[in-house]
Amino acid sequence: MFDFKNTKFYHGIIVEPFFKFNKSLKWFAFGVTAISIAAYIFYAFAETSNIKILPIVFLFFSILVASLCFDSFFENWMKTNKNKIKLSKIEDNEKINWAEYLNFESVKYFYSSFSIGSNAMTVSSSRLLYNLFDKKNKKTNFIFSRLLLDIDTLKDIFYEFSKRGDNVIECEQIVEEALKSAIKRNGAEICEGDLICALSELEPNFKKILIDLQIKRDDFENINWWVEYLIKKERSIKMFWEYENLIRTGSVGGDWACGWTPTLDEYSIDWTNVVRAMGYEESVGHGEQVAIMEDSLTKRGNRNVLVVGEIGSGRKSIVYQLIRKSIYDMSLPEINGKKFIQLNLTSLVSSIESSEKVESTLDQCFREVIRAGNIILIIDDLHEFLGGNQRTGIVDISGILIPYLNNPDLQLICVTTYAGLHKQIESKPAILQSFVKVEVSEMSEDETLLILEGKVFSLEAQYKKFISYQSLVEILKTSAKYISTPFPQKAIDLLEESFSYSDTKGISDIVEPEDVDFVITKKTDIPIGSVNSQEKVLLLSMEEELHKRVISQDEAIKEISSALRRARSGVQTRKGPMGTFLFLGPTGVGKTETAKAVAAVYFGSEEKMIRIDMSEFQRTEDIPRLMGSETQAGILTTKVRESPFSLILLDELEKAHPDVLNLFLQVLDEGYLNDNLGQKVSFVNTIIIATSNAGYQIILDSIRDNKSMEEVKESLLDNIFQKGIFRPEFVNRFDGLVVFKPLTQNDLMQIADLQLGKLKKKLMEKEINFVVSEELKQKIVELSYDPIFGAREMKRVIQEKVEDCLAREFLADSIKNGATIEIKPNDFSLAIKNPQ
Amino acid sequence: MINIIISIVIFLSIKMSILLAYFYWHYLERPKDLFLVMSNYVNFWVFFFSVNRVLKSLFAPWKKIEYATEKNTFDIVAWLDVIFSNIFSRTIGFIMRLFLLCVFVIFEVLTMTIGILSITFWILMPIIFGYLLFYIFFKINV
Repeated sequence: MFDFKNTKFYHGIIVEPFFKFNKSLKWFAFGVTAISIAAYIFYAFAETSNIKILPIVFLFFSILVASLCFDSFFENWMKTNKNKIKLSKIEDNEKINWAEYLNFESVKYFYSSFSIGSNAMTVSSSRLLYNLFDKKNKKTNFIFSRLLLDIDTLKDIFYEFSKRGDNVIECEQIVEEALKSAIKRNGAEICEGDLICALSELEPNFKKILIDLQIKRDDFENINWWVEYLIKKERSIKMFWEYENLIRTGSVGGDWACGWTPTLDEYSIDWTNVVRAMGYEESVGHGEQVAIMEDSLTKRGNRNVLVVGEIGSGRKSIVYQLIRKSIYDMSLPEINGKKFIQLNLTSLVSSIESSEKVESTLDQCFREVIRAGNIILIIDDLHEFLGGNQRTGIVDISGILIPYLNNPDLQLICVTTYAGLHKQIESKPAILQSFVKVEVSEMSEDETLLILEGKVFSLEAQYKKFISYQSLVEILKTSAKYISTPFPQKAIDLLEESFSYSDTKGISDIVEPEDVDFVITKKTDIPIGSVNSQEKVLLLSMEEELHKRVISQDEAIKEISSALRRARSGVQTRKGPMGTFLFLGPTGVGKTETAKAVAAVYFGSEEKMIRIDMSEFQRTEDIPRLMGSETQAGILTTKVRESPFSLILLDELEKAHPDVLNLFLQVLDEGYLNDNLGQKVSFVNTIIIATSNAGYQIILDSIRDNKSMEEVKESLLDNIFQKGIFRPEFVNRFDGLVVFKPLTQNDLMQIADLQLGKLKKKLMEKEINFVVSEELKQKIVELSYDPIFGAREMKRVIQEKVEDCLAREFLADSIKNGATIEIKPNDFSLAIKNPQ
Repeated sequence: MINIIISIVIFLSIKMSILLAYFYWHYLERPKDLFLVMSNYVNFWVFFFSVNRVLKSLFAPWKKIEYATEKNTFDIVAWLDVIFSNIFSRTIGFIMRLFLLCVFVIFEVLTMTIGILSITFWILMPIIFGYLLFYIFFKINV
């Protein structure tokens, strides 16, 4: 039901002129009161009769107080919805008047959009939207400006639609749509932002503009959530008398019954003070982990917590959340009011030279903690101090720590990484068993967006720049896709770097998505953002580009080119790497050369190819070499982590151990792999090409029998599966299975042309004209043709017969600049025509 | 004409309902808000002066300063010294905490007094200012 006229806010709008007058009256009464008091004092000093001024003072002071009361009544009662029940909790039935759940401003926008004599049941959505393009309204202004939508331009566009009263629809329909957005953000009333969200669906002209600008309803909803959150926060800060605001001042006397810690104070950082100095910050995410920590720190027996997570996943922010709760008495009674002190082991070790003294100081610190009785001790990067890498500034504290771990009076929060846990802590069960492990999972994108929104204002103030919502979304999207470290830190870093880059660029006052793309491209070497025209040409002519280096093998070239186009245009829907291919065929037919060509053409250089000879991984013992271990970096994992945008060439795949191949199942499917230390390595920006000459005889025989490529592929796979070289589920995970045909004489002629062409080009740099005759090419092909070894021999023949001959003549100074040379095919002698 | 009359009647009825709403707000809602503010401060002083923790440790030694005699020895002077030192430490602790509790009580009493006076003044405000205006007009006439 939508009964607009029967709402409190409608009544408020009717009487608003009176309260507006009251506002003016308030200031007038204030002025007269002040002046009359001043006059009263003046006459008092002048010893003149001032008794007649007193009634004026009283009169206007009474008016001032009455005006203040009315003003407060209007602002706090007439304009405020007292309903605190969330809209999601209200059950819809016919008796509910949804108009009552609109906020005052929304009711005003409806009121000003109704036509004269309207029944207030229908409204022109164009006019309602036109009225919502309101620069004076903080919320609507925020929503449109964050989306880089200019309110004045929109007003110009909608002026005519609004004047005509286009697109009249039921108010109830708009409110129902707006209600969905309000429920989504868990609101208690329908705000003007919710109306904008609804109209982004219901107003056809607006919808069209938004489609062109690629702005979705979700974007409006997210910014609406953001602005409502800010308004709520601003309001709650203003209400200084609220208990949550009052307790921010801290307390006195709580630690009077606790001991002093002089030694610990010297080698520690008081995180409680650090967090208190930060002020009150909204906690985002990881609530579950904080609850586990609270529970673990208050249970009987061992009360130690080990926070495990990747760097940048928010491990410390979890501890901060707990400290914040403790400071504001919002945690469990056993934790409230405790001091959280980080033992600064690095400073301790660096300031004391003898190891015995270090141990005794450390022991003293632990004893002081126990004695104080109100301290929770924090050790950051615990794994660094448990043996293993002994270096300057690092000490093994396990010997001193173990006896204290079972002491219920010592509460510890230690922070470590997964690598540190596996490498250093798991090998010491006495330590590990004394801790409750709290694993910090990666934050979701939504939670990270909230964190970014929280950071935006200080960065905007620092750089005097404005960041659009689109840029924030770009930060989320690109960091999720191209940076392998966890959220939220990678997104925060990218946000800060984008501001910094935009500042150095200095062209615009707005941080735009292009700035974000540029920063990430610089960081990762991955071309991101809208495909530029040069790259478009390259992608569209990828086949021709690759064919400049690879002769024949059309099928392989076509499949790879298509995969790159799919990945770059953003239409690829499946998870996993950009493309995965299994190249099958005899040696010397161009499998590796194709991979090299892709690396050079698309990834910019052959250096961008990670080449792994799989024949080196024939035993399960070789897996750590590939995947990394505590003692060595993984050939595959480390390289991919270092250059996530590369081509991975797995040469001679059939020679690898089946267990090694199994590791690749997840890579091919999901696009990531966990290395031996549990760290995630992303392969989503790689192209994986595996080569194998398994069953090459089948290919040779089939080609000899003039079979079609499909038949060749079929018999080749039958052979591979029969012999158990690869399992079907492994082969099926590749995007493309490409069979390389043996090279024909004609192909070899082209290859010879290509190879000799390269030489010709090199000689041209020395201004020497090298004439390549058809006879020479034929002779080279004749000498190097071998159906089993393909073109592999050709390189050697060219080296031996052509390059060696040239080198000799160069050394003998027989060839002068500007000469024309030709090699005779019968005896490979050189005919030189030097310039006169 | 009838439309105009209906409009006036609606307008007046809205005015009337708003007038009633004002009285409801002035005498029920606002005093309730004032009472909540007062109770926030009352609770806050309990937190600020750490009353629970201070009461629990009222006789505890100041900053946990405690002395003990050496093991396996009996020296009456040293023993008495330790006893008096410990009593002294506890006495200091007790005095400090008692002082803090006294300040707490003063703050609570002040808060409640100001709170109750504010609520009373707010409720009586129309009468006070009504009387004031009556007095003013009496004065002006004089």
